[in-house]
Amino acid sequence: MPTSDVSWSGRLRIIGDLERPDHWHLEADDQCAFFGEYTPREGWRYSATNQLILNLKKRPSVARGTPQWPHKLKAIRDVAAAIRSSLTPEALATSLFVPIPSSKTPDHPDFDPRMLAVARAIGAPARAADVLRTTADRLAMHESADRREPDALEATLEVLPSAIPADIERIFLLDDMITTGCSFKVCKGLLQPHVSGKPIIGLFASRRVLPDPFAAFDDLEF
Amino acid sequence: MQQQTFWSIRSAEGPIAAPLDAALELGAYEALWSEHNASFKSIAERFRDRPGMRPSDLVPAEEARAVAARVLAKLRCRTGRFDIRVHGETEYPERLRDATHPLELFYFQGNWALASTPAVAVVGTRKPSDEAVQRARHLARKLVEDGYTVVSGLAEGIDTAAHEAALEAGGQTIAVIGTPLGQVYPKSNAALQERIARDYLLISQVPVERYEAQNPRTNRFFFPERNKTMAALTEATVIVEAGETSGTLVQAREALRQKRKLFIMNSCFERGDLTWPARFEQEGAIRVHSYADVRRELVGAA
Repeated sequence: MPTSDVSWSGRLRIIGDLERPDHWHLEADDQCAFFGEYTPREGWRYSATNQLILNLKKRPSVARGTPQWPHKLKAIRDVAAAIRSSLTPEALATSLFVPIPSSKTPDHPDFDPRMLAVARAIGAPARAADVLRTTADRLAMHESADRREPDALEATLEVLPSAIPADIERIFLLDDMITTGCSFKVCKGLLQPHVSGKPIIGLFASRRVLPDPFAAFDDLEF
Repeated sequence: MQQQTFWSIRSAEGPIAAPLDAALELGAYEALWSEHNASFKSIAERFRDRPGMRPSDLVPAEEARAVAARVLAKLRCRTGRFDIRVHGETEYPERLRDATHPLELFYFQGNWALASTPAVAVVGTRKPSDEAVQRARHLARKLVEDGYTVVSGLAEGIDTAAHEAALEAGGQTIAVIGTPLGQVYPKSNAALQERIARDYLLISQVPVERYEAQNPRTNRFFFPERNKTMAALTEATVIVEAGETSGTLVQAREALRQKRKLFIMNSCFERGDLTWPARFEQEGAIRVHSYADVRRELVGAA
């Protein structure tokens, strides 16, 4: 069947000069990389990346205990496996994987530590820690009408520096999707004082693209 | 440039194994095209049997960066946002490797997710009869009803009829053009091309700088090349009407070579002046009298 590329095998593409304007919070010295592209439009159900992201984002309050749940668990394993196979063995052993936190606090029914699950599923010798935590519920990005402003986001996060091992050489910040780059920038900014100049690199299962080529870059929402 | 030092591109020093930098690859690919006698064939041959090799392995990084900066600036100014697909990245469709000269890199605008939808190419002559236009329109409508994306080349005639009918039927369409992004041929399709780029999917494999450096006479050879891409992108090609020397026949040959279904409308067989319909039928093409014949082959039900 020639028209279906069903497998999702990840290879990392960096956010460079071509992609950066789509993620306008990022600056040229921000290091971020992604696997696939998420398109919030018609055709989603055929795209392997769109499927993966939707499975990964299934809400625990809706999907747990249903036949949908194994799909979520598989998506977590797939992303972890893609990350593992894209990094050098040396990098796996010397990096800390930190999830960009869920928009909800642990008490909320939609609290979803899926990226912590991904970070842990990468497996030894990689290390994972939820160094960043959400202290006040936020609307999920796709529910929010407003642009996320860095200060507002930062006010809902706390950092636990004691969870950062001293012997790591870099931190990988993990998320399922990069949109404006706002979350990455805020999280990087929160971690930076605690890592003595070591690199903080964003790794994303996908980047969100807005297909209209004629929309001005600074008009793009989300 | 800055990016390069951060990522130590392709070196063993970076934490990510062989990260792909799309802008760098774009520049390198354009640079490969500037070489004397470069063609889709010659470039594909350099990559054959060398899995994992990228354009950036063949071009000095500094040169690739400089070319990329020029092309990015030019295309953004001319046509807005665009992206590329590079062989080896997650979103590159593996079925494009079935082409005789597989593309290492190509440009697109619009909704990439459409590239994963079930798709059928509807192609034919630039100077069709009225009946052929009606047949193309009917076919596109029916394909849309069955959930197929209609792929064509945005040329005059059959291509335009197929795109327009698919859109009128509320369906999806993909145009694979024979010019670089932001260039339109024929000019009369400028609005249609813009609409497809904005709301659907527009693909171009044509190198920007090479195209500008050549005269129009040489550039017309890009048109049949994109027919090969259409064959690879789709699960079937339907030829509505085509002359004995039509570029459409490149796609017919390529579809059969790639083990895709090739449908030829019966009206082509009824033309006494054409030899290609019988020839392709002998090689495996399917003669179709109505959409039901196409449908039976594609979805298995009349």
